[in-house]
Amino acid sequence: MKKRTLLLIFLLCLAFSFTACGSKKDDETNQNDTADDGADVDGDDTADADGEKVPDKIVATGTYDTLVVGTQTFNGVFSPMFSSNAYDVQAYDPVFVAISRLDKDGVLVDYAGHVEAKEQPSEDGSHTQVLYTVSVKEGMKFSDGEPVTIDDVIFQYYVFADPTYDGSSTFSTLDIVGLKEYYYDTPDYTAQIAAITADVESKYTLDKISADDYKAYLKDSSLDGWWQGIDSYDWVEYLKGEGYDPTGIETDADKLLEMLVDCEYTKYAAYYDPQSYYQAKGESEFITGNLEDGVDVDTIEGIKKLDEYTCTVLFDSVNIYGDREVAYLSIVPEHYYGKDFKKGDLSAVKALNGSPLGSGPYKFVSYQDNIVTLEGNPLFFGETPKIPTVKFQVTAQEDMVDALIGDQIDITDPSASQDVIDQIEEAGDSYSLVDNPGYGYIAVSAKTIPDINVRKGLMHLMNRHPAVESYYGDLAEVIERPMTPTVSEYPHGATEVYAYDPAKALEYFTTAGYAKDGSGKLVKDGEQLQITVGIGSSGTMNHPSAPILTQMVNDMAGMGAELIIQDIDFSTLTTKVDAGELDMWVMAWGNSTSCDLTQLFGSKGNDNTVGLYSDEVDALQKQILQTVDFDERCALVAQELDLIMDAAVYMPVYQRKNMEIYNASTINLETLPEETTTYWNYASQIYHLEMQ
Amino acid sequence: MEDIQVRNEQDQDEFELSQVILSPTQLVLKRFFRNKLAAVGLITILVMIIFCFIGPFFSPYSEYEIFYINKETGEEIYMTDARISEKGVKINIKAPISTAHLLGTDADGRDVLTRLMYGGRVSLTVGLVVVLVELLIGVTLGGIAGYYGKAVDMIIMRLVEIFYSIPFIPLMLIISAVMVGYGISPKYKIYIIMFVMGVLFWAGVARMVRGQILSLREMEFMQATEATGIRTSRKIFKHLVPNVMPIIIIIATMDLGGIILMESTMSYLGVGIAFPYASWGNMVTAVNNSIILKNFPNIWLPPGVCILLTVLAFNFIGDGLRDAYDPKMKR
Amino acid sequence: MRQYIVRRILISILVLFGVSFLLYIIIRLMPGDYVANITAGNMNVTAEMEQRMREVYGLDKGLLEGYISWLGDAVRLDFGISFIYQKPVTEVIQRYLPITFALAAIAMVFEMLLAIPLGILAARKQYSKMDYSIVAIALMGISLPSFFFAAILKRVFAIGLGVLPLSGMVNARAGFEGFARIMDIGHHLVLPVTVFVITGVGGLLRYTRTNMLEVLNADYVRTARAKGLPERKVIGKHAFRNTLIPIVTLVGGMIPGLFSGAVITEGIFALEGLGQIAINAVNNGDIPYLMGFNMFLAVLTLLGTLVSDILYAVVDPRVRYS
Repeated sequence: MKKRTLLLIFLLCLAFSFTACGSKKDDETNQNDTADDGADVDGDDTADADGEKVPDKIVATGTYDTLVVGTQTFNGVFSPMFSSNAYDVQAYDPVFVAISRLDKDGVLVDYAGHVEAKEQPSEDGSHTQVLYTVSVKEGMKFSDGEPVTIDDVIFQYYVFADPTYDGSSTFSTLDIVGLKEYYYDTPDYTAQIAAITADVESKYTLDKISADDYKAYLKDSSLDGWWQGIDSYDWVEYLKGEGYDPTGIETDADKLLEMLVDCEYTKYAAYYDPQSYYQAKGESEFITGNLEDGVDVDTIEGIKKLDEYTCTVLFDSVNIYGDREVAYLSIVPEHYYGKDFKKGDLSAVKALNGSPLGSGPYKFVSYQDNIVTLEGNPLFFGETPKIPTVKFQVTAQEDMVDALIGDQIDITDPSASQDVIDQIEEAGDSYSLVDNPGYGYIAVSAKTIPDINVRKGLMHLMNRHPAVESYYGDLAEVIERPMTPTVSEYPHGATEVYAYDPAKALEYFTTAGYAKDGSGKLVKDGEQLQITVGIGSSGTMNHPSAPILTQMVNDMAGMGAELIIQDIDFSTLTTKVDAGELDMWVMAWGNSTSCDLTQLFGSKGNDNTVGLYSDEVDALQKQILQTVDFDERCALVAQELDLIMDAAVYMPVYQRKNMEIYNASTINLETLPEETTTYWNYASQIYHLEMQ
Repeated sequence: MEDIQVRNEQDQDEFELSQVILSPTQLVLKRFFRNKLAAVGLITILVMIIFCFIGPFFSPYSEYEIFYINKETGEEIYMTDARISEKGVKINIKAPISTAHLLGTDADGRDVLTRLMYGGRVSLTVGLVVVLVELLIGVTLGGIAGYYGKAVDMIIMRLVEIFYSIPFIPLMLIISAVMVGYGISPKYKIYIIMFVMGVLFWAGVARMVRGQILSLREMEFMQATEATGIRTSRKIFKHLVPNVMPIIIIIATMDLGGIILMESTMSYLGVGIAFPYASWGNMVTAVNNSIILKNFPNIWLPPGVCILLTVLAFNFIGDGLRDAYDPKMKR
Repeated sequence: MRQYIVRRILISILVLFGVSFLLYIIIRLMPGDYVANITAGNMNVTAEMEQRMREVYGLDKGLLEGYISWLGDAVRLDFGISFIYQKPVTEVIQRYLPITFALAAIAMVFEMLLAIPLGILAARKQYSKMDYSIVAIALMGISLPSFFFAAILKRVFAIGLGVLPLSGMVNARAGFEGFARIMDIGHHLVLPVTVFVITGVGGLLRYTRTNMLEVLNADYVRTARAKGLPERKVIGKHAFRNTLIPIVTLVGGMIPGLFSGAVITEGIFALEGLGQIAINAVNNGDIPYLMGFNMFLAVLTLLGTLVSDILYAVVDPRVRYS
């Protein structure tokens, strides 16, 4: 199973925007779902849940009885199963508790339950399986008084595994025994897929595939998505450059595509992947055929209930994140969400998206006037919350600081800048800064710019230091390797590879064969050097990399080349990056916690959008994953990163900090967590927070 | 429709009333300059045109040139200087007003005054092009509908209603996204946006022109052309068009202002002119940053003032023209 | 009259088909599709999973096929489930409609209260200092983008003086109920309404002034003056009533504006209205919502023109539709 270790995050979320972006959710989820060693949860208050009399209402400890958190636009989908918006997640998070959560160092620890793994040989002894035992604490209650049992957890597994599930969980892709059979609704899934695979392997691998099949693939897949109609690219010029003669068919889309198919097949057959295409095609035909007739498989074989509070989940292969997949989940009540749930129909579950119910420290009261209101839950199994009411109010990003200083809100997370710090300090309020586990970068695609000299030339035109310093001040640092320094393997001593140097850049362009023509244009084979760069700042260009690009535009214009900046919204940007339509793009990675860069720079990586195909890098990546010794691994990582830098596909730009600000006149600052980290903040122990 | 007939009668009365000895042009000019606001508006527009189209030739900087500064020495460094990658050099953002930068620099370290001039070019051109497009389509279709009437009129007026019913801002957002999707270079994006705006706005013009022509058709001089049997083309160009001219000119001036505002709204939503080019609209969006709003009026105030003066001027001229041509004419 | 209305409605339905087809094509042409957007950056989403989600959301259908299936549901008033809100489109519109409507309606009342008297005043004293200053000030309001005024007003009244709330609809901390809540909402609506009024009063005022000028030049006003009626009576009884005719029709045309929402103003003041979620929908490729919302507006626009034509006949007895 492929595993992405890095998550994409919309850079603009740190600047200002009205968009609620899909990707930030991952970032936020982890920040807010985060947890610690659970020590303060297991305190004396647990007795409350054990049937002792509990107070009906929580009484305020100070003058203020309401905590107001400033957040951004809600979608109103307050369900751990279907939410796709970071701010929705933030608002419903206190309503639920997770089986396990992350502590301040990002380590998975127990919270409302426990998970443990045991490796065991498979029945036929051919490979290793992993058995996870998941349990929930006894005696917990949902806020409506019903007890929490393991059925609630299992129910959620089934929702995630449902064939019609359309939320953001990727549970259904896990290698759990019987999961595929359930998902595809056929008992002999493995055999049938194996048959398809065997068929594909015998006919469609690169060395076996017939010319006709290959060409059919190129045509049907529109050159693997490259061809998007006759106007999507200058095909005529491209064909001429490849030595074909498209004269006479310049405007005939069908004929042009045919010639391209021929061209690509003859010259670039090794760069395409017909095998995966035929595999996917075979599988999808098989699946569609299967789901039409009633339910054939109604349980997942690998998920077994042991007793009221314990179940086991059997993985068919080792997954280093398996424990998170089964236990880093909010517990949702089956008696509430699952009333009318049956396989293939989630509408009853979805109908409750607007009114979450769980066993967390708070319970959901209402969502109106752009405000989500939560009320303390006396039945919470841990420490009884101190603040009777918590409200999440939508506040425009640019108003956050002023609203907090004006006492309208108590806690919020504006985008960090020196100006904000100055304002907060002047007002006597408090703030915290934590490293954002990600980094900003500028990618240069080897797919659209195959000439490494051109790529190196471009790299030498990026003047990063002044841009980052002007935008973030001390709140970000320029980094030299494409990995976040929050990962312990990051080579901190790494030096700059491509210093800003227009003269050197021009040298590289010249080496690549570009020369000035009569009209002052930098051309090669009569074509001007033209680079398109995508940036996702929603048209406003409030972006740390904006000055880098401005400088590049100017420098390149001076050389007779042209840099075209496409300032587009984030969803369009990702679509265009995935389609390989951009020469360069400015983006950021978030939540990268591992030194495994296989997905990003491996030849078969899912996110290898820059098209880096290096056997050397592949070999190193394999070695890194098998190297247990830390120092040794660091050396290998450094070596890998150097190779990637040499390939001139990624220019790392900055690593920044995330900011949270607290209103000193309303919050009892002493009740904030002692240490706020990337994984641990006030929301992690919201039950501990007090107002003045 | 009878309401039009009622109007026709009024127009006819009005037409008779205005048969004075002064030539119509003299009359209009006399009335126009009697309106002081209109005269001031005209002068303002002339000044703006000179500022934006001739001004840049006197500016030492280019539109998106950025400036660096050495933090220690406070010395400004030009972007072509090799020292810009040295340590301790940062971008000279939000620089105060100085002799080098008469209006300071903006949040990306670019000269505000220079961008103001280039931005004005874009804003004024956008207005002009959109108005030309909408007039071209609107006058043609409105004219055809009004002149031929019947089924042609019916079809064109339904088309007008369709265009009337399409909400503008969501549509512009979508169009912008579509353009990006089809890989249109941002440099040309603004021209396409202008064209689309023109295409969207023609409906109002067509409606107005049609109404005007409908009423003109009933007038004696048109009946006279009918009786003398002159060619249709001559009838249209010699007799109808000159009579529709006033309303066309008035629509044009008023819309010029409106479109400049529309451009700034689109910049605010991120679908206006593309980075790194300037327009008054995208410069004035800086007002939304509360720190810039509070501490750096030199960044947001100049484009704001330019927009205010220009749009106001166009409105004054439009009002003045309307009062001058025909005080009864409605908008 | 009835026949006329029926005919107009039938034609409007035809127009609606045209609008919906045009809108559907444009909306489907948007590059960022919803599935690509929510799966971007998500762990292990396979191509297969994406394909299944596209099927669930009906994004796998072709343009024409998609339109026909949308139309089939729409004629039964089923506009589908909004992708981002996961609720029926009609329910989403209903939820966000009241605030948008209230905002626009209050603003409209204020606009009329300001524009009509001032417009009449300006017209009576054409080419005087009074006329110039009224027109100049009113036009200033329509000479700057609304976000500009919003930013300045917030700076002055919310941050600087601290007398009005910065944004939002209610005071979250206080959590008022009943009458206090209504007052609280009113307090929060002061700035947005002001922005509306500033940016809206100019057009209406200009319209009133022009019409008043026309009426003042009319024969019956001259007659009224000639027979020695006091000026107050001339204006109040003869001129003003006739000015009302075109104004009333204009108001009919303003109906759709009451619901369409001010995309910009709602966003700036974090108000939970239709305009703001429309932008959100565009950015996320929420096709059902965009279709539903835009069609809703189209219906209102057509209704608005119809109402204004009928009002015209009602206030002006000379007009008869056949």
